[in-house]
Amino acid sequence: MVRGLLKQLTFRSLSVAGKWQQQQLRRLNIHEYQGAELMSKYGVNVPKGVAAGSVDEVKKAIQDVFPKESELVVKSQVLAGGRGLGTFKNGLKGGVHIVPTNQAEDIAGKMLGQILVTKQTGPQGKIVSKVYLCQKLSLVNEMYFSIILDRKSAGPLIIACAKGGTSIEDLAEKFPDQIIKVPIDVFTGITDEDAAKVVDGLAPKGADRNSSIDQVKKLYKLFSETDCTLLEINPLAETADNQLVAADAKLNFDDNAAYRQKEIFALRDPSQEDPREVAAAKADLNYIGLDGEIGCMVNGAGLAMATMDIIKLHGGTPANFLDVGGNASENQVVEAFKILTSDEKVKAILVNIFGGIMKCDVIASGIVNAAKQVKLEVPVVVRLEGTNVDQGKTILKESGMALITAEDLDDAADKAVKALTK
Amino acid sequence: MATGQLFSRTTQALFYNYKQLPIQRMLDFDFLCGRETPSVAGIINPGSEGFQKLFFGQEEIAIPVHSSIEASCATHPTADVFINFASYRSAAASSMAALKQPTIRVVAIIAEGVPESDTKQLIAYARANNKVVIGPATVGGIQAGAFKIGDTAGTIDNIIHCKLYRPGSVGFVSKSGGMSNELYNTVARVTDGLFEGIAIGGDVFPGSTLSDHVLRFNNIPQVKLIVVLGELGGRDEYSLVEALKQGKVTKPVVAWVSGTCARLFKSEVQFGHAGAKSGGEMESAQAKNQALRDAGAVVPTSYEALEIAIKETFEKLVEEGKIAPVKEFKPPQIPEDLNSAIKSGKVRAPTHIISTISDDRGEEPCYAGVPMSSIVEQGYGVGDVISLLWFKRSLPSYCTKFIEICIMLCADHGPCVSGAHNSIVTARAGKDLVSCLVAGLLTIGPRFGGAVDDAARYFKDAYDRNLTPYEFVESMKKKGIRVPGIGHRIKRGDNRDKRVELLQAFARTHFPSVKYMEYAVQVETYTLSKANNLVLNVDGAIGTLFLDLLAGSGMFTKPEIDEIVEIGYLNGLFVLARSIGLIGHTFDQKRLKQPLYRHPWEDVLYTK
Repeated sequence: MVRGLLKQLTFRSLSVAGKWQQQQLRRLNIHEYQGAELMSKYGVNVPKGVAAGSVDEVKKAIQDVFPKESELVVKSQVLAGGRGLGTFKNGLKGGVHIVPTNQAEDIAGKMLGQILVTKQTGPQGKIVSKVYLCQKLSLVNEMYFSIILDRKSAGPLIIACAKGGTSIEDLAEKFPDQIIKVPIDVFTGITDEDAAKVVDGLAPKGADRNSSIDQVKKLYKLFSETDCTLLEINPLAETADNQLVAADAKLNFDDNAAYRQKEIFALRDPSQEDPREVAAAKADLNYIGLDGEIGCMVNGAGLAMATMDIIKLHGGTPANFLDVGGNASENQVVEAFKILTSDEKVKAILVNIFGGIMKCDVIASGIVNAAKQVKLEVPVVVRLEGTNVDQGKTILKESGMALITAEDLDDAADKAVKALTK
Repeated sequence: MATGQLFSRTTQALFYNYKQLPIQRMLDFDFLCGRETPSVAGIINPGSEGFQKLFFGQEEIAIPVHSSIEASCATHPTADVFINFASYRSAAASSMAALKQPTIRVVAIIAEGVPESDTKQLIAYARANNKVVIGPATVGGIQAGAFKIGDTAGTIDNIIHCKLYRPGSVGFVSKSGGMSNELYNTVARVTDGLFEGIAIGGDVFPGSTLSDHVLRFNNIPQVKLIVVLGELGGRDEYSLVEALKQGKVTKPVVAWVSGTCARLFKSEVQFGHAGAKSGGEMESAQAKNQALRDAGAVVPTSYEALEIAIKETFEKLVEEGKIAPVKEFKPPQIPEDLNSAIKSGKVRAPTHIISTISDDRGEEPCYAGVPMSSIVEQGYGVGDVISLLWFKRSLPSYCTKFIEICIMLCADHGPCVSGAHNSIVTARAGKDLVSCLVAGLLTIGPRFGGAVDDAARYFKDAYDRNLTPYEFVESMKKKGIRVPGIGHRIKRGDNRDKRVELLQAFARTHFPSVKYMEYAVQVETYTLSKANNLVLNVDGAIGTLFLDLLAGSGMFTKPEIDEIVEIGYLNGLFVLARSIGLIGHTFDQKRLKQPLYRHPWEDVLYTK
């Protein structure tokens, strides 16, 4: 039970705080080309583009879709930002190139199947399985548009700015008086007045007002019908022919809605995810891979966080966030041990369990059985607290396993950090 | 929100989606606190109605089950808390339905994974209508000594350990249910205990927030000290900072925000949240801890130091004389569940049933110790199974063969005998198989089918008392009893019953001794001298041969034989055998689609 309750908690806080993870997790992230297809399905204007998974497909796309274009944008599709400034492991610089159409095949060939490293992928990089070919637009005006779920108004909030192209933080700093916020009633949805207010805030230079209002309403429809948590169009651009175009978009979806957004969640690309996390998700464990050396296994997201704090306080670095939940089965504990021990960076494991709903003796036998099944080559420190703690500790001591028991959380962190140097 | 106490010792809840364990934990908590009424008034289980039996202390109580939220609220107008254990798919809809009930004041949503846009609607509705939503994705909350939501605070052992059965002076709020358990322990160690604890749940948009509950705690006179456990991410703690700065919280607040190690990880994050980057620093644990400290909260330097901070703040309140001593009491013992008590070897209970013939507990059922696989693999027959289940031993094959012959011979005797007739009439009345079968079986008794049993009894008695056939028959005649097993409607001395001949031939070939049967033959010789139709019939043959089987096989002691005859084994043989025929007649009638039977008037003598 508690496991279920806590599952999302830390992911959420992590995602929002956003500082300590290498990539966004659990929140579904889709590729640029998938986002463009989705938007165009909802009638939102997007630049003309085609995704291609092989050089042959690139060739065909150029013939079929871009026979007259002289220049094309070739974008490698990875689920990480900073693509333009990234470097491929094969030496190619830049994950996004604007090239004459006759060179598009060549550059796409150098991207496909290669590993792109950006400041967001971490040193291991991410594989490029598809490139996205787009027409090169000449933009005459760039604006900002986003929809979020807002705490204060208890509903969706549209944020718009007549300036765009740089981050909302920059915009907020440079043009605070040009940013408008339009709360949308969660029960009635967007009205014509709401949409008109947004368009007036965007103040497009040449685009037709009514068709702009229509575009805003279509974006909101997309947001609400697909259970988005964030829809950010930056820039929302005007082309030379006075068209409003979503030139670049960021779409985040509510994982909680996966059950009713089957089509959207089918777009998930596991090749872009940390394999440790894919394994953890399979075992229904709450896991986030980090870069440290002390593997953590904790029940309850809150306790997991406290555990990581304490490790750091003692001079160690956590290798992961792992919440096995309040009602973990022995099998889940075994899977958790497998994930921790398969991580080369892990030099010690700290198990911190509070037996509130489960009893410590049950947990202890689970740990012992799990440890027997998995070959443990690093020291394991166990701290147990809660119901039947003494029986639990006795089971650990009498197991004959090389488990280090700790008195409290402080002691456990201390022992785990010391175990690193041994 | 704000305002004060959400719960009291009389608070009752409606529980949506029946879950035995959390409800039992609530009731156990109630009993521990000495509540007079159980805290669960009703259960809502869509699609079912009736009662659920649960324990309230030592007694069993029946909690009404309703199929709709509206019906349960109408039946239990004083129940103002709605505990929603629905899945994340349906939690939003049922919570909204509950919020719309005028009697419901607080809705606790346990499900984790409720879509955010749905939660937004719940929050908007609750705000507009002055109701409280706890959760989603929460274990709930507890008011010590008064009311507990679902699984909050875990096992009874933990609740006793944390003294949650009586109120203390601490108001506690956190996001996480797991950390609540940790903190309840801590609070119990270093203060006079918890007054109320709420876990608001882990969602991005909780139905009620940390600051909502802190402000509420501030209005509860019994709460002297407020403990808050925050987390990195989100801005909720800043609402608390604002409230502190504005002097809205007058009681001491001890706070800690977890997630300080977040800064350790330098890698940039791909996250397009419109406010995330600028908010990133603000939403860090360090920044929040500092802001809370600056606003006047007691904020320790680490999570481990939180316990000391609570302790010191509490002791200061004690020194200032602001804490009234808590009335301690020893909570009653919660009776242990029988199953777990037996499992742990703590109790023994007498059984109410004893069985010696079969055992279904192992890998496969056993008949008198013989596993089913041996019975099948070694080619046992029905006779062997009867010998195992009736006599609790494996009889020699001639015995089991004899039993089978008896069953075959007695299986049916045409449609006109009373048993078959009754079955046929019942079948034609459109009744089910079992009714037809028992209608037929009910005729078996002293006049129909009872002769086998009686023959065995009387012949055994006569033979064992060394009566001559003459003495036996005449003594029976004096008593006015016809000798059972003698006489036939059609058969005569010169036209013996074929069935009797078959049985006698089999027994003479296979039985070591046929003394009872030979005695019966002598009796028959005597009776035939009186009348030509007084032949040994099939009942007499089976009855006496069975005596020979029991006595001659050497498998039974004398008292065993007496008992077998006494308690009606032979009747059992007839009942078993004739059931085959009765079932056959029933199916026959049904197959023939025979209409209701009505006896013709012409066949009845109507007279005065």
